[in-house]
Amino acid sequence: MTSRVPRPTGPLVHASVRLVLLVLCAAVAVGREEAADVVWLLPLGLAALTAVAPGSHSQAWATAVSVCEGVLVGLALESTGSADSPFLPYLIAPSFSASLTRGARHGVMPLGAAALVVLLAPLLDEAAPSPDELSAEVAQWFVLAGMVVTVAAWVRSASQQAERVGQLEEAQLEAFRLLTALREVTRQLPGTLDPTATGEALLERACEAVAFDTGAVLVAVTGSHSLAVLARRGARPHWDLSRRADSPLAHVWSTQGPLLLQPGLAHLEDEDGSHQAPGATLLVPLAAGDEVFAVLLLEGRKNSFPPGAAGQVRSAVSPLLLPLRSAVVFDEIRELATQEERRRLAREIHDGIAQELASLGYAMDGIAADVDAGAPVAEQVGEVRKQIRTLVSELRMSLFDLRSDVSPDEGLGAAISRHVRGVGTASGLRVHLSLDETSVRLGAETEAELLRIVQEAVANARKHARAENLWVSCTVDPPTARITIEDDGSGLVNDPSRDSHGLAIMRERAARLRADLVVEDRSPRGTTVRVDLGRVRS
Amino acid sequence: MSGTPTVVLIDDHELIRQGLRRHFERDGSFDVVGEASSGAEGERIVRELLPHVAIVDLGLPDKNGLEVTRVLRQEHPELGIVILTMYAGDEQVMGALQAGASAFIPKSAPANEVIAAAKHAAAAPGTFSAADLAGVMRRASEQKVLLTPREKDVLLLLAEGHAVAAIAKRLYISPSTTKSHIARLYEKLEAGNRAQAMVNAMRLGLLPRSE
Repeated sequence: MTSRVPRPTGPLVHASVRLVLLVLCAAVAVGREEAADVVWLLPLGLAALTAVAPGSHSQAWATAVSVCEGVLVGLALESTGSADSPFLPYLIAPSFSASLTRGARHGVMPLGAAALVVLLAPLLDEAAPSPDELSAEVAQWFVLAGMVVTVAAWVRSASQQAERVGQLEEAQLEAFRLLTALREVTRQLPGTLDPTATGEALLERACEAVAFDTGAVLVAVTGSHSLAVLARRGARPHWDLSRRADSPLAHVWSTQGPLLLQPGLAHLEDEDGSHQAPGATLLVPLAAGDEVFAVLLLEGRKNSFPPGAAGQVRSAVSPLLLPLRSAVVFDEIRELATQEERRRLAREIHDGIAQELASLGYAMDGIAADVDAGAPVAEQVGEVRKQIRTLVSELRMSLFDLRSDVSPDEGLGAAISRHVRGVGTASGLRVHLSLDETSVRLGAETEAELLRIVQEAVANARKHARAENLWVSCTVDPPTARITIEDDGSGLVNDPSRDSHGLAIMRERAARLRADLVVEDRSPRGTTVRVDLGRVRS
Repeated sequence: MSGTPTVVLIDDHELIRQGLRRHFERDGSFDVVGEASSGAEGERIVRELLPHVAIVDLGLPDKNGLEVTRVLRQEHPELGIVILTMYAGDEQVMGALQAGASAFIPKSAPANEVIAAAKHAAAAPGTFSAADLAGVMRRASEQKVLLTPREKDVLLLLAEGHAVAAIAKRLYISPSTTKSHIARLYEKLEAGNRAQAMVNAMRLGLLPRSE
């Protein structure tokens, strides 16, 4: 983002305040016609010049200058007759400057230094007035200076706040510009904001530049230290993709430079307890702007990556970096917006129709209690009450769906298992769950979309199929995944019109992931929904 | 004061409070002595009125009903607390149990079940009742380390000391799939190697004790 140019008004204010005060003091000093008074103008003026001189100085230096100034003012007061001194107003100058630029604490320092000099000097110099002769006038000026310090500190904090607001506005403006530009890009170039497709294209380019056995594009997962596999070519190794402090991946991420490992990055533990490693692993950081957002991981035999390989890969994939970065960010934004909308919807249902229906149920309970148990209408009342109960239960399940998310540290399998267990509790379905996940994750947006497909499929089985059992199996092997949801209910054949809306939603979600969705009858009865995500080229 | 036990209703939806109040009045087993539409107000009226039972909604506007429950339980060990909620899911039930509630009732349940829960809460505030509590507890204990059937098979064969190739053959799956199961197992058991995985599995009761 753009950085703001600091406003140059500060030093100007200080300099003019000092000038005014100094001229005032000088006028009084000259008027008194005492040589000692006029002589003090020189060091005070020099000190003022030093203090307001432009240029960036350290905090300690500024503090030292202002304290020296305080001492100087104290000495000037002492030698020009304390209460009669023409320099009394000048007490304000160093404190005001320090307070305005660095806060009240710093404003008090020069004032304290001056006070110390004024109080201690009589002990050293017998000619000077004794402390009890220090008139109320001197004290008044110190009090006045103290008030100025307070006001200046307040002005400082107020202006800082205004500046923060200004910066925020500017950042928002910048965000607006970017989003508008993004909208244009999305309209003009459909398809270019697909992270998976872009990741695959990037691997293709890398493949043309240098030969490798297995390659993968790894992207950061927001809120997690682990990396997700966006696209892959070749075999299915068991990588440890956490970005722990001392791991090669973390190294590449922080140094922004490529890394060749021979032997390569070890795979997770193998059968005899050994860590298997390929001959060589080349890690190439992918950066757009100054920021690394992904890593290209290439594996091959020993010496398969010549010294210039990393550079060749980098220049081959460079045209795709910005599109990939944009696609990843766009996906993230879309997911954030979706989540926000789902939460809003959940709140609306929870506070609105759900409560109204529940209270309607209580009203029906009242009617049921008033009606004679034997009366013909009693049965109808009971039936209505039952339906209201079913409706409220349905709404509770919808709320449950809307509020379920994949948390960054648990992964898709855990989220699916939590969800179907919750559904099992509420609906009485017997749930059979089978998970087969690698330790590597899918992208967060993909996981969220898959969970929603599962929710929809499970909801269909629960609501319409009158099923007893639900089988959910989930195999995740990033960037691919296969999820199957089966029930032993009435099936599609018996009711072809069944919830075409739910099916349409699943199709839409699957299409967004470029996943295949199959909905078919299950043998001997029931329905099978299968989602197949991604493919790996070898 | 008569001997009738007292109840307060803490729910931000007025219609719900009205409906419940009517049923409590009709039933006659409780006096509704107060209503509150926020968590803070609820805590205040319980402090003032010292009722026998508080009915607490989970989705209160100012704070979560579980927090309110925790506060109430700490301040009033003998108070019966009934959680009444629109939210579904095991986590809510477990949360209510841990916060110190005496009963958990979904808002889909008819009013007489709410009254029954209030009676239970008044009689035994230190206990907990909820529909399908056994199922919730079982699922919660399974959830700690949830192994798939396949992973359980692999774990048992690993414990018997078989190599990956042998396990793959026994289970009719590919060595690559087997490895993936093992990697997953290690992760779930928070183990870095086979020995550690075995120790942790033993500790969690995932392996039979007899060697």
